[in-house]
Amino acid sequence: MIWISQIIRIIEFQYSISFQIVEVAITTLMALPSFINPLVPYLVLLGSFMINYKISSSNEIIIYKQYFSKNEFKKIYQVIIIFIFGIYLINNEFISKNFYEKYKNKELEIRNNLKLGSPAQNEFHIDDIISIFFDSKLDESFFNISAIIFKDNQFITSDSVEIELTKEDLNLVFHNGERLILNQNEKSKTIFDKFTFTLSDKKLEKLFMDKDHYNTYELVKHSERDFRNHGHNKIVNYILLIIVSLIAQNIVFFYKNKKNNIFEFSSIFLIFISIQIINSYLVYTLNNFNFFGLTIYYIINIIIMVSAYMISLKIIK
Amino acid sequence: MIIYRYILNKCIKTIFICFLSSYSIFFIFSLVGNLNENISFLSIILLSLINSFQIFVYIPSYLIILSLIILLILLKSKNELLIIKEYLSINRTIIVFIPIILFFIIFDLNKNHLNEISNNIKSKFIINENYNELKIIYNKDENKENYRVLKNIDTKETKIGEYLFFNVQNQKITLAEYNINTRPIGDKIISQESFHYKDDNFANFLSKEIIFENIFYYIETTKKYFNLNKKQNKKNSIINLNQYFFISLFYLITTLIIFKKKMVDRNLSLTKVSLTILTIFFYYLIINEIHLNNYDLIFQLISTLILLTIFFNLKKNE
Repeated sequence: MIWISQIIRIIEFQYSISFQIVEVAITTLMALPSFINPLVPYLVLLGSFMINYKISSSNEIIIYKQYFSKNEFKKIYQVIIIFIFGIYLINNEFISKNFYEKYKNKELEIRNNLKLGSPAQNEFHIDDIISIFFDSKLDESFFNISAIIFKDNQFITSDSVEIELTKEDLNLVFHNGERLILNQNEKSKTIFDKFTFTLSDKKLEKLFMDKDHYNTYELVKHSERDFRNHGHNKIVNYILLIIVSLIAQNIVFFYKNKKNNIFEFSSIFLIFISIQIINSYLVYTLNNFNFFGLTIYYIINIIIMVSAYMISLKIIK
Repeated sequence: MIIYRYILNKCIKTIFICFLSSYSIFFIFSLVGNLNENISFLSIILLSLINSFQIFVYIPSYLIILSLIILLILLKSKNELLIIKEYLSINRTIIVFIPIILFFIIFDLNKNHLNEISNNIKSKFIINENYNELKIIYNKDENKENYRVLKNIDTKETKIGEYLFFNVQNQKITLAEYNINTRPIGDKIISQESFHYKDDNFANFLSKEIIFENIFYYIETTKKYFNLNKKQNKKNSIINLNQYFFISLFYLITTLIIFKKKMVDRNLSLTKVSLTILTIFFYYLIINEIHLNNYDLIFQLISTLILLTIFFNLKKNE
């Protein structure tokens, strides 16, 4: 769902879509490993609710309980959880980092190169730099043009405009037209055969290294404070996954005769959502206030998570 | 009547649970992403709540797809589907779902408007330098074009830093206007001093004149580009009508697949059914996003026709 919304978001950015939808889909697919990371504990929780519902509704749980001891259950479950934790760890530290870098480069390329096909509604806008309105299009040329260059208030009408793309620049070459400039310093009108407007790479979007470009170790060792805090947040998420897995172990084999478990499950889910909100607040405090240190951050988080574990156990006892 | 109410209740409950669980997941995702915003934590929470809602706004059909698949699993697990199929024909089953389908159709059709509302609310939480930096209002006909540009807008004071107007006839700039000294009166913008261009001549005017009306409509939204072309809008209305039909067909087909006769079979693979629904879902999403420069209407009509064929095929096989 997040993947699909990313595709739609990127497509909407360009007001256009054509044959490159597959390219957009593949590009955004590369961001999925990093999108999934913060959600894994909740997916484990939801998964355990679903397994419980499945085996309870078909009464399989009664049969399992008759044939297996509690310890045997736990052993099978622990193998599964170690497997999930391993995948989470590999994804968090290696896969998502590499894929995110590729995703960002590709996304940037798509946006900068206007590679999403011909703009719909016969117009296209490059940020707050230029707006171009046209009647028809053939390959990379647009015809019967009216264009507004917002810097210096320039207005252009021309027979055509060609888009030339170099590695660093984007050139818009206008042919046979007139240019009107209206601003405080200049009022002029010129007639031209050829006029080139260049968008240098400074004006195009640049790739910024954000937190998803780094793994936990690199984040913790980073020079910027919020990057370091994000690294510690990732460590807390590992602890959260362990706590959630321990709870999930009890949820899977929770059985109440002919009773709906929706109240118990929603309460547990709400508790863990609250933990995420509190943790986010703690990260926010870490980023913005000097009095709040890492030790307090870890202590508060561990106290909250252990309490959540105890309360959840009580709910499904 | 009891069976109608039972199915409807069960469906609404499933939609509600799916909505809440998906919303929570989106909320966490959004919350983690928004922590870097330079705003108060309460604003971050509110922003994340709106962002999560916006994911549903982008693809409202997702919720009904997920809910119907889960409903199918629930009904099949207790053999309730068999009883439903015994008592209700496919047409009657669809009638039960009509209120829900209608709700989603209306939601889907208004998603752009809802998205705009969400963006307007969001903009109040984020201090974005670009916000309201620029508005372009244009009307492009065959031979005549008008462009109005509002720059550096102060929404609080209803002030416009710079106002530009360009008139084009037969690809020639015939008229242009430039104002910097403006003040608001009600929903109008009055110019104190303006600079005009007409027929290759420039002139300075010091008289007061109304240069812009209905300013609140334009500045109270995050929308930047306003196309006033009626002809374009008329063409769009035909495409819109087709879109209503296309969206309705999609929801009907989904319901038909979930409640078709074959579903009663216990050996039927749910993965196969889910994949079929997902394929139609992706088709629906892609077609909705494709806008061609030429033959767009024909393309949209063919897409609807394909869904119509699937619909009749499903009905025929019932």
